[in-house]
Amino acid sequence: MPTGYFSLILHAHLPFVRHPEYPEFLEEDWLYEAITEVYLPLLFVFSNLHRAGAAPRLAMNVSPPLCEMLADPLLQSRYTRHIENLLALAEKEVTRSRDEAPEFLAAAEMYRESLGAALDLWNNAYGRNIVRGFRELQDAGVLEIITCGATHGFLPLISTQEARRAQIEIATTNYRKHFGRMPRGIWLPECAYEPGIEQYLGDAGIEYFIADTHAILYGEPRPRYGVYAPVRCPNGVAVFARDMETSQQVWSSVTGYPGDPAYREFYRDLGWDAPLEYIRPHLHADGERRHLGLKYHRISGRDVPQPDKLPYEPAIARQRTAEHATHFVGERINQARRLRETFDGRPPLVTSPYDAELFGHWWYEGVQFLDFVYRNLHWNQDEIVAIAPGDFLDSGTPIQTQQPSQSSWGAEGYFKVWLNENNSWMYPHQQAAELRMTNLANRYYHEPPDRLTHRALNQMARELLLAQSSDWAFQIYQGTTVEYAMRRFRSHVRRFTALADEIESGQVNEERLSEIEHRDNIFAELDYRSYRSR
Amino acid sequence: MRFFAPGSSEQLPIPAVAPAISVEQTAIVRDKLVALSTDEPLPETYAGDQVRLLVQSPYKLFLYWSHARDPFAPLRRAFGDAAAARYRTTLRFVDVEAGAESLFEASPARNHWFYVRPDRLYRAEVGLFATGRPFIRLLTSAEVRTPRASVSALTDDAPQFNVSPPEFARVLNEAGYASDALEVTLEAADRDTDDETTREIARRLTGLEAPAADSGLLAEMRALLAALAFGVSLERLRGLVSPILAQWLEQVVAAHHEVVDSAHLLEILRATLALELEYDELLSPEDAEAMRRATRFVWGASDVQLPSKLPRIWMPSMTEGALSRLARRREN
Repeated sequence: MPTGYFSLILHAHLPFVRHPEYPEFLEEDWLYEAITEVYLPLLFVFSNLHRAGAAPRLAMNVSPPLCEMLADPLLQSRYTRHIENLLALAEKEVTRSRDEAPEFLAAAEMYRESLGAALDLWNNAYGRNIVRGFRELQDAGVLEIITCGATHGFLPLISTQEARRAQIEIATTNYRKHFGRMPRGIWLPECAYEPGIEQYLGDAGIEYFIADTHAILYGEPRPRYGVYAPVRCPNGVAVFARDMETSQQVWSSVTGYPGDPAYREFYRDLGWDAPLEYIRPHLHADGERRHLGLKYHRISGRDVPQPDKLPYEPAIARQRTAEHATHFVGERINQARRLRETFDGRPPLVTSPYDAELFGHWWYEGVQFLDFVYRNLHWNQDEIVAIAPGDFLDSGTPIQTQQPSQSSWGAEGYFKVWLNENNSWMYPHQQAAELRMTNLANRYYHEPPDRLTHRALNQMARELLLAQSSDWAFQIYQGTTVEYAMRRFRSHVRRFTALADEIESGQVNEERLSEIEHRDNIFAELDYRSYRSR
Repeated sequence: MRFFAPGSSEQLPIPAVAPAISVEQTAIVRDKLVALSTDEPLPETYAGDQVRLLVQSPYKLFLYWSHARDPFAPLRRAFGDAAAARYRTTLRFVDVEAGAESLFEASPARNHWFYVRPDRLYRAEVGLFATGRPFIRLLTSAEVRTPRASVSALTDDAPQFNVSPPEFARVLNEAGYASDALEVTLEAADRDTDDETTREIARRLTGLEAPAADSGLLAEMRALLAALAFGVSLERLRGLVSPILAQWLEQVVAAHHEVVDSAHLLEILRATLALELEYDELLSPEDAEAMRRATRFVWGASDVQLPSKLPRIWMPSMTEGALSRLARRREN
């Protein structure tokens, strides 16, 4: 029996951003950057670990909007253009730094090589559809892929049972489309839970969900093993909750690993540092500066001003990553020993959920860190075993029954990020749409609609789902891309309302419906009857 | 040449870069959805009455409402314009289990934030009210329970999962919930002293007799002391506690403002329970703010609550290992 178990859970999600009405669109870059810096590297590393016999095991959520974007031919085509353009810049950069700034040459060569490898993986290993890569890793026993809310809707702030159920049902249907099976687990959007949500999960055949620490610590009755074992809700759905110690080690830029002076500085970027004329061929047609992902400086120190940051040295950063991974695994062993003593010999489970995009995008060396962690876990020790939550459930270990407490993983632990003075105006619109959707779904459940109305009802459901994305309220709270978030929310509500008005008046405008379908083409398989009352 | 594919620690041969593949160029399409563009305001109201009470936190609820029709019209028809003009749209907010209710003037924005307490059931009603007249209820929200903001008092009946307060305090402490661990440690001490420990600590801290306490109020006092020990100010706590404790805090602030602080409390905890708080790992407010700012970036990361509860408490009952670690840390 090991001293303890370790379960890494990655949450890969981006809101559905796809603008066919424009030849290029700034916010689509979120996806392209994540493919290059996060998803391809993760696939590559875990495939390699698997091939090398390191038996990596973890759970990963690839959210439904992300799956839909990754499988979308238009976005695939645009990403190809994006990375080819970036690679051309990286090649140019090797020459420039060799001639003019040799202190940046190592980083420039690193970018040329890693972007070349990324393009090779994209085209040749995955045929431009990396959902396939995730699916293969699941089939190989590396990943336990879990689902999420259909559009990452914040479930406690969705007003009707039907609309909450639809977020789950549409997500699991979409999961089956992409992964060819049903999900065992779900990442509740923002880890937001309130009692009762487990009913929808249980009805959808989901065995477990991920929650924040105090969902279990403040649950009733008191959890014997804290967050170091799952609990089961009264209906049998299991809950795995976040361990703060590992969270802080990886998440915090102040006290965690990512703040190390040797690591790459996030905010210094060639897109802002280079002369405009030099980078113009690699910008969008509007010529506006933006992050390009080629960053040549290291953090250097917490108090070092941006202009004084030192050149990034990949070899030193790599060494530091290896040291941090060794430290991380050592700390897991110490933590497991302490906890096991407290638990009278029962091995604890440390559940460590993170946004996948922390690794590679925010913390550039993060994927490499995971690589070293899993190599250490497999070859350098025998006290900690990496598992996925489903493995723990399969082990037959007795699990306490508890009613978890209302919670989220957002700032202060509840719902403030998604409901506050700046974004509360959204909910009357969203929640009115939720009611209206179910009214129409009920009406046309009993009275089959004509083909055009059927299409309009399905599109209404898509618009509602897109409006419900918690990303919009989050961005408004954060003060980042507020204008875009507000426009997206409003446009989906307006499209929903217009379609509902047309259906109710019996006059669906087919040309406009086709245009809306063309733009908001998420979930081709969707059936509006998911919203009916049951 | 060395090559490390993205993110990998494994050295690999350099792959041939795939030939560039021509990319579909999307033409700019005319925006056919201008009529549904985003600049147009969303509807002010929707068909039908709407009222919803939403949870933000254990301490705050949000209410919004709208009326399908002018709520004053029936009033004017029944009583005439002059009498109807004396009425105002008013909110009645009900603490369901306590049976207490309060009235609030409604905002023209048709929403309201209520300050509440954890783990309690509330309901809001929207209606019309004139002084000296009964409240006319028009809309009633569903009843909403605020989240718990501390650990449950209940333990599992099954022996396998039953956890004693000292054991639970250790589990909380390991999880980084040191404030809750302190609270449960006080609970354990109360259990051994006929509920006297918390009251005694409160007495030593304030110089005032603590109010007579049933089990609920005593639990709240423990939470209050734990929060004070971790640096939450009295000012802030006054807004979060029950009326009886709030009143007591008023007296405390009036009588002993300077001495009621976390440092003094820590001395008392050391003397009473031999407890130690590991302050050296506490983030300063500046660090916490820096951490919050630094984790803001354009996309891809949630504003996740980070362990502001990093500190640990060390109890005499803790394992030898824990105590020796503390000793080592002090030596260093």
